[in-house]
Amino acid sequence: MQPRPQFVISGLLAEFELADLCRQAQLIVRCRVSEAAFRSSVAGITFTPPGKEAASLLVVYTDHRVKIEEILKNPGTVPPRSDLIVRTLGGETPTLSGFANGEAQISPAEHLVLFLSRDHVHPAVYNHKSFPEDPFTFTVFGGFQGKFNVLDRETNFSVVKRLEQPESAFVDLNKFRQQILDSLPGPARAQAR
Amino acid sequence: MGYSTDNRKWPANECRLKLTSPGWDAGWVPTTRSAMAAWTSAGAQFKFVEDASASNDLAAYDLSRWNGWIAMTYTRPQPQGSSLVSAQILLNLYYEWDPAHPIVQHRDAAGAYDLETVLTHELGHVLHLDDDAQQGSNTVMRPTIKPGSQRQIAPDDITGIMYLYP
Repeated sequence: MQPRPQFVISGLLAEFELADLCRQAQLIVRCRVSEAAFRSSVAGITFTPPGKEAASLLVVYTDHRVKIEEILKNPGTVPPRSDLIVRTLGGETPTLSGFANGEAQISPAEHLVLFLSRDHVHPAVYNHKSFPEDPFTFTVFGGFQGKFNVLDRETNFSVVKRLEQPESAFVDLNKFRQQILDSLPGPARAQAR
Repeated sequence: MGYSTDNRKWPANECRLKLTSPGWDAGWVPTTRSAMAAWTSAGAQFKFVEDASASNDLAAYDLSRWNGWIAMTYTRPQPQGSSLVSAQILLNLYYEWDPAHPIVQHRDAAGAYDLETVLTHELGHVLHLDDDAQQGSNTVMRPTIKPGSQRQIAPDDITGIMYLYP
């Protein structure tokens, strides 16, 4: 078999505290990954500076299906307990494979709190005609910073942490939920209560 | 140890970079040269070389907020083997930079990111050093940055480049 061309994307992300994530994410959900990597596609990131020729890079992105268990910000955005598509940079297709350092890495069956955005609808990002946008597709705000794993330790006791953080960074899920609520801007907080 | 790498390397221990691409303003070239020199003088058998005919280059465009990505490096290794074939660094002009971009106005209001620090980080990715995910690390390869933060190449970064290019 002919080896596939590969790419590696690595970058630098703005550093976000929890309060920044809460303020800037368009949707915050607690969810379970029901189907990972159910669709990967080659797409272009296209740049068109004023008066100059468009340039583009070929990338792969992967769509993950997640089932919402709880909406923690902007509950009117999507129906409760619905399925969402979370799109991440990187993945495998028959013609190209790639990995994106810094992107949220999502795996099957994970229980997560995700800080989501619709930043990908900007024409410069994931610009590809074969994937028309729908209101249920989101990307992870802040890359890896916007993904928190929920670990079910005992009945009625769950903790949340970012995977790269030390054991001491575990936060009780109820406390984390309250931290999110406290960090939301006024109108969003009122909606979430 | 903070650095990590997939062991892919530039052939001949050098990477040739074009600093005159249409997407890269001449006003940012001196800062780019400083960042290249920082890695070249780190003590490893590796150098960045300025070359107007190189295919590896830098570009800066407004990529919108894009989930906080202020810069990206796109590299292509050979399908087989451990050599790197090409690299492109992209800076996101949605965010504010210091020094400011000579032409394009930023749209983010969080403050200016230090161009030399960010370029040094991205050139580290051109070398195929991965992000340093250690908590509390202050290496240049730390994966996130706040406006105004300045970082230089740290001993752990040097360990990384020395490992690849002893």
